[in-house]
Amino acid sequence: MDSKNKIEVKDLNLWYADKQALKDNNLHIKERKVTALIGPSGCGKSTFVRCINRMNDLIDGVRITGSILLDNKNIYDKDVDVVALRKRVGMVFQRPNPFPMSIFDNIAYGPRIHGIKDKDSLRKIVEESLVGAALWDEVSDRLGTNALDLSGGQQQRLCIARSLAVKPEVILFDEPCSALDPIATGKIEDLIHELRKKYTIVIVTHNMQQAARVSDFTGFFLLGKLLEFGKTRDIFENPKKKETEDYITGRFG
Amino acid sequence: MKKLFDQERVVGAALMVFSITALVILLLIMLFILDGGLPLFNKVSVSDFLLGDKWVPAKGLFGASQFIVAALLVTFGAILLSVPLGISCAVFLAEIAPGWAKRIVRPAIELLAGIPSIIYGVFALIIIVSLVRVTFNVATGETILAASIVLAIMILPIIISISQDSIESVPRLYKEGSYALGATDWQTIHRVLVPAAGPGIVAGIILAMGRAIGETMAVVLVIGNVEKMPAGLLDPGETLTSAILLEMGEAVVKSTHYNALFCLGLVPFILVLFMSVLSSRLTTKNKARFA
Ligand SMILES: Nc1ncnc2c1ncn2[C@@H]1O[C@H](COP(=O)(O)OP(=O)(O)OP(=O)(O)O)[C@@H](O)[C@H]1O
Ligand SMILES: [Mg+2]
Repeated sequence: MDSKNKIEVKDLNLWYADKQALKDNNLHIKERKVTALIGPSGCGKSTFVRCINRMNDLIDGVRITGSILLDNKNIYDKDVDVVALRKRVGMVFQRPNPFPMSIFDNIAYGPRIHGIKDKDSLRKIVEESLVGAALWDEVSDRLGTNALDLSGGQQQRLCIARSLAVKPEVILFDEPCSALDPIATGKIEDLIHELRKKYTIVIVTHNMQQAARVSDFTGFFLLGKLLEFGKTRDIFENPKKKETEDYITGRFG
Repeated sequence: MKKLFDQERVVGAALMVFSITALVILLLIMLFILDGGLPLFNKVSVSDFLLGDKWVPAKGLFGASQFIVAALLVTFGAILLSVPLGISCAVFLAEIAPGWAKRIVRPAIELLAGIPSIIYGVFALIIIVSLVRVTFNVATGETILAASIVLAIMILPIIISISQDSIESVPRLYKEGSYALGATDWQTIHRVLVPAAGPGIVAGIILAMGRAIGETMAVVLVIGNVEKMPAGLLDPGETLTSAILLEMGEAVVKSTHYNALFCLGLVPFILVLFMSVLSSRLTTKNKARFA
């Protein structure tokens, strides 16, 4: 029942200018499983996931050592095409960030930049993606309206649909529900449960119940270091480290 | 205990007085121009003024359409030249230029905006006019085109700085969203950043148009000042404001000629007023959208 490793992180270190934000991290992410990353604020969870699609490349002064293998190929090798990498590894952000354009154009954005021009194919992709993100029924009759007119929860599902549209293999979620109410959060969690059948998912969350509900594996970060990693059930029921236990039970101080 | 001197309220009142003063001055100027100009229409009909193309004060002919057309041609020519250049420059400064380049170029551009217009005029008279004459092989380089070019240079700083600010105020989230989908720098710039900054950029262009319509000194030196309907960009012409500048000295106060010159001023005044309103509308709308 053990599935293959989709991503293997080896000795990953990251510095923002002089400040080290990630220290010697090693971690395997299984294909078509949900891996949750938890830990106190500022411990480097976002920094870590942003390494997986090389979003940190956009920040001046970032230095990275170590490697991240995606299907056994190091994404930090010189010959890697970052554009192609980001197409394979999608990302959903903490705050919903639809572009200020129509719902249709938001979803079609990815396919279009990757060269799909044919109207029928675009329409098909838009529908598939919206269905995949459980948003189709709510917006199918108003694809032309501005995406910013949707509710926060709908916007977040739109962003998920937008990343599905480029047919990624991995989707990174960085606290996708922190700006949403419990009902919208529930919908996203159900969605992640569905997506897990087709995609490898990494989710950063501050919500312990959420991590317990949606994930197969959980990693606990503290001060830039992955302190403990294992099956979600083991982490929550039998944490090996005292820090993990304190954090999970809310006694962290 | 009640304070004798409530600082908050004093400052508030002072600011109120200042802003009301500004408003009153604006109103007074408007009244002054209306008062100087409107008597013209007792002698000449509005349509003869706006549509007629014979301007012979001695014979009582006050058709201003050639001035209006020249002013509009010059302005649109300037916009056509400066908008592509200005937006490219803004994109470069906002997204591509390294920090040190920004720190040098931006102040330099702002300095450009502070140069007196007569200096631009002299520069244009010597350089641009000859350039136009040689390049297009025309009898004289003093043309609408020469005026458009110098105006384009003059409004470039407005377009660049406002566009750069609008592009930089596009939320970083949009940019990251685009990159995360595998977009290249260029795709992100022209499909997300520039459209999202669009209303701000348009507001800047409108503001620049207002500046261009009103500009007098630089234009009067290079446009040739021929009171004839221009047939194209390579014709000389005379704009509304150049006509005022050239004729105000000889017009007898309160004469019909004098009234007519005020009306020439009224046209750009109304246009600029209209454009500022449009521009500030767009800016506030833009702010609301990003909030
Ligand atoms: N662009 C940056 N430049 C410099 N330092 C940064 C930058 N981004 C993050 N950091 C620092 O790196 C550390 C890790 O930040 P990161 O955002 O990864 O934490 P996080 O675990 O995601 O926190 P949170 O739960 O609050 O989102 C923090 O100390 C932060 O101050
Ligand atoms: Mg974070």
